[in-house]
Amino acid sequence: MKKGNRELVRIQSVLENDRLSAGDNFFELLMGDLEKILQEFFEYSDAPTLSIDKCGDGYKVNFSITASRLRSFGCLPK
Amino acid sequence: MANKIVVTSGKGGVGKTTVVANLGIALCDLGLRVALIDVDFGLNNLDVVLGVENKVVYDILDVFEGRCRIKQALIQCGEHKNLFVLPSGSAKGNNIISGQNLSVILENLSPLFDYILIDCPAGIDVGFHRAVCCADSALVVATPNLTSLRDADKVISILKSYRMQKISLIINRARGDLITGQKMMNPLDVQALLKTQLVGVLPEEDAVFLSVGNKLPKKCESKKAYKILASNLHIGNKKIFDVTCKYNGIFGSIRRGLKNKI
Repeated sequence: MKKGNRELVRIQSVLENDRLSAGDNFFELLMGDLEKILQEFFEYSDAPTLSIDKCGDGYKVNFSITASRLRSFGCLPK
Repeated sequence: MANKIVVTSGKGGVGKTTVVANLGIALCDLGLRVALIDVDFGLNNLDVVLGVENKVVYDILDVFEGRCRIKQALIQCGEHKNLFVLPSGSAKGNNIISGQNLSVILENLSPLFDYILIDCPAGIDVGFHRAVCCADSALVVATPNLTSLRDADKVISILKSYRMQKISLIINRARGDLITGQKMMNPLDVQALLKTQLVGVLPEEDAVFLSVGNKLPKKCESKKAYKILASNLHIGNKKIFDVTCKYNGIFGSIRRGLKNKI
């Protein structure tokens, strides 16, 4: 493989790793925010799970919870 | 109102200031009014690259602290009647001038010019954010090597959070002989890698190195490349300067062989 192509492959993998790595508190913050919203709509006891996987050019984000019941509430019409 | 464009890179030494100066001249040659703003406090070199360092009386800090009016601090660049530079002074400005202050200064300049090019400091610290927050669009300058491209990718991701009208890429110091011999990354591959529109490819040339403080010779390749870049920006053309054309074919391979030996 020529040097130009080798460098291209190398930078591709470097950028892929850079783009994948989130900040230190990324997962904590994301889970905290999502839980805060979901707690207003569902009742659940198990801890939610989060997974982020590379998928083509982007990422597949899976967030799941097992809810025991949906919170019922009234709201004002728009 | 002027189109405010920040020229940034992340990595230092890729040629931001040279690009700002020569792109300013190329836009001016198209008959446009251009202001070049140096916001690299303490490491300011735009005045030197343009050869007007002896004309500096006031700088951007003097404007901000009220010692002069903006028009008094603007320096006309030699024979280019519509090209002006607003120099920056000591590193003191780093602690005094905020992004909002700079925005006010640029807003005052905006009705007077067609383009305002902002020379951003290297890095992604306060100086970078101060320069970027005042701009409508950004030009990211990168050289075709790993370190520069990695930094450019990080800078592009930060620029996206500013919701700019447009973020474009310039590949500087491209070597046609190395690209043809597949020893250097092709600018089009880099464009695909960074997922950012390429608006210009500028060749590595001795004339650029030797022209600091002087204008580029009329017949050099870089002059043509800057002309194409300026029309891409202003008219919206999508033409890219071909740095490899000199090195294709039989004569091209001889030229390449000679360059490799040197």
